[in-house]
Amino acid sequence: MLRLWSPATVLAAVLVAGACDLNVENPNAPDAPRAFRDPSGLEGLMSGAFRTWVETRGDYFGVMAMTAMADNYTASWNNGALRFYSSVGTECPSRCGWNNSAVADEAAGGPSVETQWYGYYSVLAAANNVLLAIEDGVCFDGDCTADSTVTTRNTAIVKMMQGMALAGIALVYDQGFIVDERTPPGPPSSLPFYPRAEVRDSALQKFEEAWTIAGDATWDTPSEWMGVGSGTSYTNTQIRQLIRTMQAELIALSPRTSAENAAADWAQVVTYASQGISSGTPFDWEYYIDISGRECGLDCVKTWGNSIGTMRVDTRLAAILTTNHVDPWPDPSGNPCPTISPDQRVGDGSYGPTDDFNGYSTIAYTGNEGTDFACSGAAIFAPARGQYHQSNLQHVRYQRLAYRGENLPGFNGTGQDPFYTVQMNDLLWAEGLLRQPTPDPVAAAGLINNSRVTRGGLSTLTGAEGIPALLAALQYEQEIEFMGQGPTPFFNRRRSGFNGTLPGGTQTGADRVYVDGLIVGTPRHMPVPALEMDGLGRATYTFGGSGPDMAPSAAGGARRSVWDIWQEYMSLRRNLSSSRH
Amino acid sequence: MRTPRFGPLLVGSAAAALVLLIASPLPAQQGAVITGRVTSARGEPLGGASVVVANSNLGAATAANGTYTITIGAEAARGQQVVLTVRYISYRPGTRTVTLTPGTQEQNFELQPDPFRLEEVIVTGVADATDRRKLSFTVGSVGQQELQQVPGASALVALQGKVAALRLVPSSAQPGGEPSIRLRGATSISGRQDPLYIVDGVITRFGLGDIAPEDVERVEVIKGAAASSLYGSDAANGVVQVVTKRGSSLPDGALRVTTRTEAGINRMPKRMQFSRSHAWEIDETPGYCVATGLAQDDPSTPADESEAWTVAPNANYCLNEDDARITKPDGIADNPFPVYYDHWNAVVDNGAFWTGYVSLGQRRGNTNFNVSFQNTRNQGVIFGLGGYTRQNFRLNLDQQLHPNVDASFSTFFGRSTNGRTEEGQNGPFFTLMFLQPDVDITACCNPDGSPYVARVPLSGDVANDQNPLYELANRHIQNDRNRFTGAGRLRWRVRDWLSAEGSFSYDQEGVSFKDVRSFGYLTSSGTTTNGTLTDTTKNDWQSNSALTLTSVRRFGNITNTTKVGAVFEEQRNRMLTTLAGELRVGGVPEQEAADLSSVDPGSWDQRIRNTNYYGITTFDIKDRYIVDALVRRDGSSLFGPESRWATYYRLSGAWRVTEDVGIPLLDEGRLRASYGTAGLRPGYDNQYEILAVTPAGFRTEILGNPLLKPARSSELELGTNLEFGSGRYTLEYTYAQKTTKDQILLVDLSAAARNELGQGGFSQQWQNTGALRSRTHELTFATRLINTPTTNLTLNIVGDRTRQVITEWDLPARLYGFQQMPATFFLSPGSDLGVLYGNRWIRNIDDLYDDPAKDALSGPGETWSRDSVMFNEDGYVVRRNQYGTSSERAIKYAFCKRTDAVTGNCLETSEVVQIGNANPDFNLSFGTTLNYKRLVVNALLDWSKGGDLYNGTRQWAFQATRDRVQDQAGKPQNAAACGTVTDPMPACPQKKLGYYGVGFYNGLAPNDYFVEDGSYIKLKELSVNYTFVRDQLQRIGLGALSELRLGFIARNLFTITDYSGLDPEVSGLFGDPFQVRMDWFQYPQFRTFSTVVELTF
Repeated sequence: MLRLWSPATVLAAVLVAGACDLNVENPNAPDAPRAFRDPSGLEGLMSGAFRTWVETRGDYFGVMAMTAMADNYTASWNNGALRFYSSVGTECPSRCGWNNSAVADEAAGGPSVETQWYGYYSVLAAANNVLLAIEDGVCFDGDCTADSTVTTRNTAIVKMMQGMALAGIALVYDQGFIVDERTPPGPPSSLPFYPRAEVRDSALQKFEEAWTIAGDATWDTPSEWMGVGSGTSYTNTQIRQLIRTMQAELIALSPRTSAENAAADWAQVVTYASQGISSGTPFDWEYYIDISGRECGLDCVKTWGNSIGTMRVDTRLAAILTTNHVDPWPDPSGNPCPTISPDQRVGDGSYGPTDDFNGYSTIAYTGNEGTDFACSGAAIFAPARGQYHQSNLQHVRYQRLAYRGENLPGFNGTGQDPFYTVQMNDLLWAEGLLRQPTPDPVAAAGLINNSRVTRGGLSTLTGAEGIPALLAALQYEQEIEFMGQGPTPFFNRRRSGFNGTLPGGTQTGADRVYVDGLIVGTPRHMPVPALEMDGLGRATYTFGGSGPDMAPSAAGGARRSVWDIWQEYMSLRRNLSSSRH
Repeated sequence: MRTPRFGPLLVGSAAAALVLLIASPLPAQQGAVITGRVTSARGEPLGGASVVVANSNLGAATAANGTYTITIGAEAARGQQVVLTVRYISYRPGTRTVTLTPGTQEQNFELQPDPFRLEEVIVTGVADATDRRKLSFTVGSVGQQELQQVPGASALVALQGKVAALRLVPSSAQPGGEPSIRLRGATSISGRQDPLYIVDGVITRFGLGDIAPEDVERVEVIKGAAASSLYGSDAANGVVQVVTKRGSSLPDGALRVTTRTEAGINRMPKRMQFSRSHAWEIDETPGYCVATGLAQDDPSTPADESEAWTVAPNANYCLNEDDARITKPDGIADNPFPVYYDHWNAVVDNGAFWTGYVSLGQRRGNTNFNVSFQNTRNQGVIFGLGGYTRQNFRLNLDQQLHPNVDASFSTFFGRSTNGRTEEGQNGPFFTLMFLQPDVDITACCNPDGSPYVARVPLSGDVANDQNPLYELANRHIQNDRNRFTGAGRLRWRVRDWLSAEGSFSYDQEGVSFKDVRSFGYLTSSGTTTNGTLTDTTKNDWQSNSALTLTSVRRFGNITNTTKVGAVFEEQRNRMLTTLAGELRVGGVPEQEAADLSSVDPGSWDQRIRNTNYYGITTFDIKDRYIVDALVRRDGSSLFGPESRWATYYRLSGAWRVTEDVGIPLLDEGRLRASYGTAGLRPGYDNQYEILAVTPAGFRTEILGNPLLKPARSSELELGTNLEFGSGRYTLEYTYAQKTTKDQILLVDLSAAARNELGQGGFSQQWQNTGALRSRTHELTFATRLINTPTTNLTLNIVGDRTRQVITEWDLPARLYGFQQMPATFFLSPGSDLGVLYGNRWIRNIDDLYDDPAKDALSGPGETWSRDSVMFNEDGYVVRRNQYGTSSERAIKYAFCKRTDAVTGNCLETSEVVQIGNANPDFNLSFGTTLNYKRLVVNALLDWSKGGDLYNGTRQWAFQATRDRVQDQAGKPQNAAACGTVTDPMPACPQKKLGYYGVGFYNGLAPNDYFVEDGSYIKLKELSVNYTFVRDQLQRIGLGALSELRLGFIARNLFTITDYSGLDPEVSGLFGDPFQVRMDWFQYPQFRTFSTVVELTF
């Protein structure tokens, strides 16, 4: 019997005792309990959110296309649907509208409307998550009082992030969610979409709260929040200035048309900009692009825009900046190098330490090279893709951030990336002064001169030139100073009021017709992405092309949403959990 | 807190305990002895035949002279009647009922030949070794004889065309690559379809790529849940079990030494075709260009960088003021390149391959073993690569420790090195598509002395040009791998009806991957970089412990086999990878010489634990009715904490009809049905909440799912097996339908999604949602066309037709792709898995007006009136006023996707429609073997009918005007009539650059211009072997040899296909290779010719 029962006994023992512990902790990635349980984890979330904001602001999929649709940069590459959206009269009668479809791929512009949506809401969620932890009483530095300096600093920063995220949504989209730390948990399908104006106002409110809290104590931000390795530390005073600049930008650049532009609260812009980063002790707000974030890892617009073989300055702009470049591009030889321009930001277009640097038919530095632009003899785009994409002018202001710094001495694609410059704040401020109910042309002229004269070497404005002339000069400066700053050139063009027809320049030889700064058919903002709408079970819609370029969104239909399915799971989970107690 | 785990330890202890338990001496009593001789019908002794007492653990193998002896203990010899069965490959088995009584009795057998009877006993998916005629479900089996005729580069390759509904796709033809395998239809919507691999009873997670094909004795394949339920939550894709040689099939007392040497060459059967013409402006008169008023390109001056590398003394290119070539006004690529360098020939080379194999096997008394060593090298066909080398050592040993106790031991060690190249969009096969042909890429050298000019001229259109030879010669990618496997098994026959078995195995793989662009590496513009270095090391191991009890009892006419068991699996995968973006010094491609700020590390450490219990019982009633049932309970750390356990089951039955009903001409007829369930496990981190770590901090990313469970596949299998014509024909037909629910899919969440704590920012979550159904008809037919004493000709046909559809999909429709490949593959409810979506070019004018915008303007004189469009020479509808101009384009189909329910107005149009389906209509393989005396000719022809491929490789080339169809030279032209539409059409088929390079290139968006029929007929294997036997060898003084086999083998010999790419057996480099049928800059499949010399001592 022993020999029969022994194996059975052994087997039984194995079956009972051999059961492995099936609970395995995942050591490979942090989860919320681990990352958020300690203050450093929360600050890591804040630091990550800054990086996400930078990545979103210079996004590859959506923002590059927007800059090309603003006839700011140009390229015939179809990366990020750049060519698809910026073609004139080829894919679509004039310009293509946003292809708002979850089943449109990159080449047809599917992700173009998605990345900024999810990017800004990721920033918003990070800020909300930190605020939830603060409300739960997290202690950042051992001082667990609600008004400890670090807690105050972090509260101010994440409030500012809320504003930055909502501002991004308000500037880019026609509507959006407004979610903060006080929004009760629930399915997204129960959350309403708010019109862009309400999203903008919510952002302004968050900025205002942040500005107030940032004044409660004196502190500095950790340098690593503004980039790995060489990030800049900012004082609470500077953060308050930055908030004011962002508020001014939000009001000034929200308008989608010249009419909305005229109706904007320019006096408020003046109020905010006068306290912005060019007031007091001026400074640029910079993010350091480290080696892991170069080459389109973070700010794709500057990486691509300053790469001589990748993007060029649109001839619309080249014709403004020089006296010897014309729009459209003259077939077949193009515009000449060197460039002729009184603006020292353009100079003679010389570039690089040697002639024909990297094979782009350039002229070596002559000593009269421009700080912002250079000239290339090479037409890098296939003419068959549309000669209006060709240009001989190249943006070089941020060439250190281009692909490995364009192999120029001392540059490797890393460096400080200014997202808000002193000049930008000055120009918003100046515009407010010119457009407010009681204009102040002299003060405005002075602010315009800060870039026009100081950087451009152009003649000094006095304010006596008249509002139209000053606005024209202002617009010229904005074209230059906003260039490379994410979607800002697009925001700037859609409200510019420029209406007209430029002869030729399309592939078919048809004229290019502009309405309020954008070629007819160009959408003026983005719809809520189809990916989001499909998930919520709501109907999709879009703007541009042969449809309306900014009409109110259509009402959505109903469908069982992904979130509903997940809620069923959670309900099941709760039932399972309760049955075990 | 970690909990100590006793599973593996306890199983080992249990095995030891079993040994101790049986160590006590057994009382000496007189037993029964059965002895005899097994011969063929012609009286030849059959050494190595298996003689077993049915339904027991008793048996023996015959010696070389065909004799055998079975000794049965007195306890088991109680005068009962038992069935004695003799089996030998290619012979019909012999059975006889004998009475077990003390003393010796003689039982001789004479077996009749049957060439289809390659393997009689199946061990996969069943309770115990089972006669295949009593199987209640399908098990594919490929024996040594079939496998060794044309051994593949790996054990898997040799299966192609030999098992119905088993499809292989080479994910990469790069030497050392392992093909992907799918059994019947897909089970996973988003994952791969690879089956569970078992080697000699031990589950392995590290693939079969290390196993020498010559070591394989048999492969068994079960194809879906109806058969694979025994393997539970990881077996929905089926199971492939490899049985390696152990010396057990040798004649008793024989020692066999075999050496096999195969050497051959690799060649490309096909080449890429490119355009030989360009559209640059030229002037035939040297020196001056009338079109520009400027001097022509002067290659003798270095002003233009392209001249450094372009040997085009008579090119006469016109340049603009900036020394750039200009496109001629008509935009037609019809000027021949003055010099045409064939880049394809420069990149593709002939390579050699060589395999040496030696094995030594013996069976003597209570011991059998086989030890082998293999050394193989394959250079592939690409210039400059190191190729693949592998050395394998294997030892299998079986020892009877005691009349009731057997021990088995296996160990394997393999190491390989692989000097390879990158495929896809970042490798040389990509850059090759852009280079202009007047660039001499073989020119030497660079300023730093490195071979092959790195600096190549901009083609004028694109910046993707690079010299592939420079990369192949100067970028070094090396993948080295070590593998060790050790397994032990102890089997104790507790009673004649009961046995216990304990086993333990350990499998370990180490991988070292290095990718070096050394310091000073040059870009295509000639700029010096600091180089890059990627180092990846992996160290994975897995251990399995198992304990089983098996009972085989006979109750009257009923034999019951019951097995219960437990399996404990532990796996750990560790990986460390470091990417250095900048090196600091030449000649030191190590991380310590890297710029630390450029170093980007990554790692993972994964532990996986599984605990599985099962019970299976099979009733064999009167040898004619088979009923089988099993249940299995799986626990896995891969399942969410709220779903830790899952249960699987199977119920199956078979009826051997011809045992009850005599049917004329039918020798054997069996009907069978099986229904079973099995699972697909989630990936390691699918259940967890994940915050992405960025260089700056964190970002919420994946919402955890505590309820995540394995996908569940349920399969119904119905089939029949027929033998007729006195064993001359066999037919197996199976219909299988499986539905896999609770698919494991990464679901996009709303931007406003938050968990129950209000925390948000989670963009995705793994969920169980969606279902996939597949239906397969599969057929295996074999016949002996000639069967004489000297000549045998056999034909084996296997085929399948599989359809698979997504039956549940609660998510938004989704397109997916990888890298920058067109996102072509579509997922939505009711959609076939493997359908391709994209733009369709209109070939029927009526289709134009499915677009509401065009329909609204289709009246007389309106923009889209019918007379405003026309067909061009290619059959596409184009705008009449654009015909012959640079704006001529085919028109995309558009339709109204969504209408307003009230007004009927179109709310949304779409240009994305189905443009293809990757699923073949059917697959058929024809294998034939001719044996004439000692000459054996073997051929395998594979036919795949239907199924679309997407040629992404050609689409990219359209951008650079390099594709063959863009070459307009030699096409008729009529310059005066071009652009002037007449009826009939003018003979003006020449197309301008934009027609292809912008139109069909389509911004790289998917379109049906690049969808091609993937049908093919391919002669995959052809071998001719002649075997010299001892008598012949003695005459030439080689009497020490028992056999000498000389052979010739050709693989991938020829292909008949309309597919314009290199090979229609192509799949994407990413995702499920059976769905993503995407031609995407892969290492090309090549043809091999080789000779074989095999010596047996």
